[in-house]
Amino acid sequence: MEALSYLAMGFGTALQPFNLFYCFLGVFCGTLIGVLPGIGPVGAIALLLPITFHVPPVAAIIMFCGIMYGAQYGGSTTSILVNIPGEASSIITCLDGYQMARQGRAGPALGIAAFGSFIAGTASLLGLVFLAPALAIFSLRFGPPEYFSLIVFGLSTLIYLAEGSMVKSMMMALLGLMLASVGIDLVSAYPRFVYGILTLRDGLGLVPIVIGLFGVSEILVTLEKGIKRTIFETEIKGLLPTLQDWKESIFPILRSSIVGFFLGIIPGVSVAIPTFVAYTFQKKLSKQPEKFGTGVIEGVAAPEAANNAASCGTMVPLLSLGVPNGGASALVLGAMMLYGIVPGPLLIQQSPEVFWGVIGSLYIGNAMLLLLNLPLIGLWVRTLKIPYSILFTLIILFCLIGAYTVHNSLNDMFIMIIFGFVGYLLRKFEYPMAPLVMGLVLGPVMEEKFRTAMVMSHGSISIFFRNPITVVLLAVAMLVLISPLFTKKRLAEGIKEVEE
Amino acid sequence: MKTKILCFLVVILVGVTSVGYAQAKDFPKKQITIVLGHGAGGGVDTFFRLFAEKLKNKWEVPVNILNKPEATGAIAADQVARADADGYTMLGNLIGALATLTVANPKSPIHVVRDFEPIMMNTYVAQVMYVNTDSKFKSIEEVIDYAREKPRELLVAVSDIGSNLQLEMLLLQRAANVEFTLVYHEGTREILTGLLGKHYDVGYANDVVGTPFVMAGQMRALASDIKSPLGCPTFAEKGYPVVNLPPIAGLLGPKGLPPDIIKMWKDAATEIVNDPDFVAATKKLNYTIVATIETEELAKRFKEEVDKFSQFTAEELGWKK
Repeated sequence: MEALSYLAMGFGTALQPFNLFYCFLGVFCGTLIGVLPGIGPVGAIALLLPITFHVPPVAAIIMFCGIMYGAQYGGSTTSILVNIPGEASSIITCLDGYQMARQGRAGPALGIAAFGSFIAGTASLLGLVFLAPALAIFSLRFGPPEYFSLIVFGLSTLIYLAEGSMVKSMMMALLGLMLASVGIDLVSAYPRFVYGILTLRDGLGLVPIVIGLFGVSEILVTLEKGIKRTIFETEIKGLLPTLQDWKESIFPILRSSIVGFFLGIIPGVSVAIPTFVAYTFQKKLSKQPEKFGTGVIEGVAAPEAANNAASCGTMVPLLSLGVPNGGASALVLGAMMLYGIVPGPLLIQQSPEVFWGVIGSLYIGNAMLLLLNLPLIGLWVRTLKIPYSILFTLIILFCLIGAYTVHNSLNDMFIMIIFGFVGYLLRKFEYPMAPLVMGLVLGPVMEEKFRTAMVMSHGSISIFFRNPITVVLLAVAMLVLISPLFTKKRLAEGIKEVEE
Repeated sequence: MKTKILCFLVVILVGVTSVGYAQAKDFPKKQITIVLGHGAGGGVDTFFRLFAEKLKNKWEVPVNILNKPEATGAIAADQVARADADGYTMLGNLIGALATLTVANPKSPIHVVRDFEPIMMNTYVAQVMYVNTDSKFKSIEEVIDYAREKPRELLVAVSDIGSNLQLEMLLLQRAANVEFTLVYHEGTREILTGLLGKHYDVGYANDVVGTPFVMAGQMRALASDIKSPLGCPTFAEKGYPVVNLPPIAGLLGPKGLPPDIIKMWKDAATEIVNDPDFVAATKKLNYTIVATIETEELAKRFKEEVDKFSQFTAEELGWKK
């Protein structure tokens, strides 16, 4: 098959020692930067872009792919070790990953994250190779009404599957949506909740809020319990996933790769949404759903696999249509243009060496990440042994730096601190924080799509029923939200909540 | 103990060497920063990065590009306006965006004419009206006729409010006495995917992003505001000369730059835009660079551009007060 021979050619290019070196450099720098809270793949590429100018084009693109993977993995590392997500898509990894770390199982968590990402990367690259053009065409059918339906569907299932009271989850989700409305509205350019503060015009910013809600609040809660208590199991129970871990994780990984890849293809859907969906999907299918959030390995395997698969998925519209999916792929597009390559529908035909070269380098980056990080797991895990009084000071320092570097703004640091306290209160009163973040992430997109759809239909709501995609998604969302009325168990839970 | 002393010495060394060369008489002696009020990977960003690469080779100092797209470039503009007028901190921004910032907010801390010294203005793209190749519209006349028959029926995808794309469509509506329904997006990506997926009737975007699709036969270019390599007629040729507001990327310094520094910048800019490598690189990306650097012509064009943007009221733009 022609595709395979080109793929071989791509690998041939990517495996040259010169290019391999740049791949290694990219993965290494990417991981280091990704470890800083708040800086994800996008920030890492933007920071390292100037270095790539001295490098020939093919090596530079290979380096970018390395940076992307490295930063993603760096973000996962901090999620697992200290409950601070590197970026939106790493939030989910915090839920179970951090709990595993507290039980002394940081090594297996990091290991399964690395392996899961690698397997997902392999699977999705195969998908990319064989399915890219057809998939790109399907993704075009998603217009504003379809996106809106997809997001409503995602948000509903997430509320439904959050543990504890659905009322509390809904409240948090709505709070997230409200917080997301701060800033300049897209359709009428009207400033909302800005109060004349220049930096608020762009909104509160996901990163400072997330770092505050998860990272800072965790420190506050731990400090309240007292530093002297042994918080982390000092006995590190093994550095790599056990056979049992593998048995529990392999299917979640494969399933999440598929979910992540296909959702990542849709232009405009960030990597965060496929990760959330894969986690909740896995929770639904798991034999022990109630244990999610306490440190089950599938809770780490699923989101890690999904976010890697989704990153590859975002390459589909870029490589087959020339349309970037926002964030990292927009930067890759910019980089390609700087080297004189203009991606478009004809890229595969006109410059097959570029297309296959990128595919090859994505794969090599994937493999390089695994090779680089496995030996480092032992090192990372040992950092947890640092006395907490020193550790938490360092963590707060990194959080502050991370919050600042997003926009070089002191205001972001204040926002982070405020939300640290908010997160503390939420934990004390047992309100789930994940729906709040989901509302924050999904809110702006949901609103924009809804209002755009309304403009398109001149105010008629019938546009949401124009094809099977929207109807099915909205119907399932509705069903999911009213289902507690019909499930005995949920009803009992709800009554208990009200009585308390 | 030894390590402590070593660390101390290293810190002192680093501190000493990072004292700036404030006494330098020659320009440039240290790193130059071009702050962009636009994000990485876009048209303005790509142009300035290519420019910076050439500048770095010419002046043999590091030239750093800093992206600060927040608050539609207001933060970047503010930073440069307040910077020392020594030629080391410059602004790269769409002139129209700066003008809009000034006009839209009377209390704005930055004023495009008062606070900046323009060095260079470039058009680099044309803005083009595209339709899907399956569309029934084969020419701009057909589009206008349809819009006249059915006011507000035609869905035209543009980018955000205040952008050159929106403003040109407003001008077209005024000149042809028709009404479209403009659909706003952040960035050009969704305009293209929306048009390809047939969610909109017409898409208005620049020629660089659209060229690959026209080449692939998926989209058709009906008209553009200035001459474009795509070869479609201009709006002026079709009887709407007022639709002439292409994005203009400007290189500006803070007001008060000494005349000899201005001259150095202008000379460098002139050399770079005429450099064959630079021209070839930009052409390969489908950019068409037309630069205005000469002082009198520049001042005239600058004023013209700012005036063009001041002709819209907030209501027309769709901003609510």
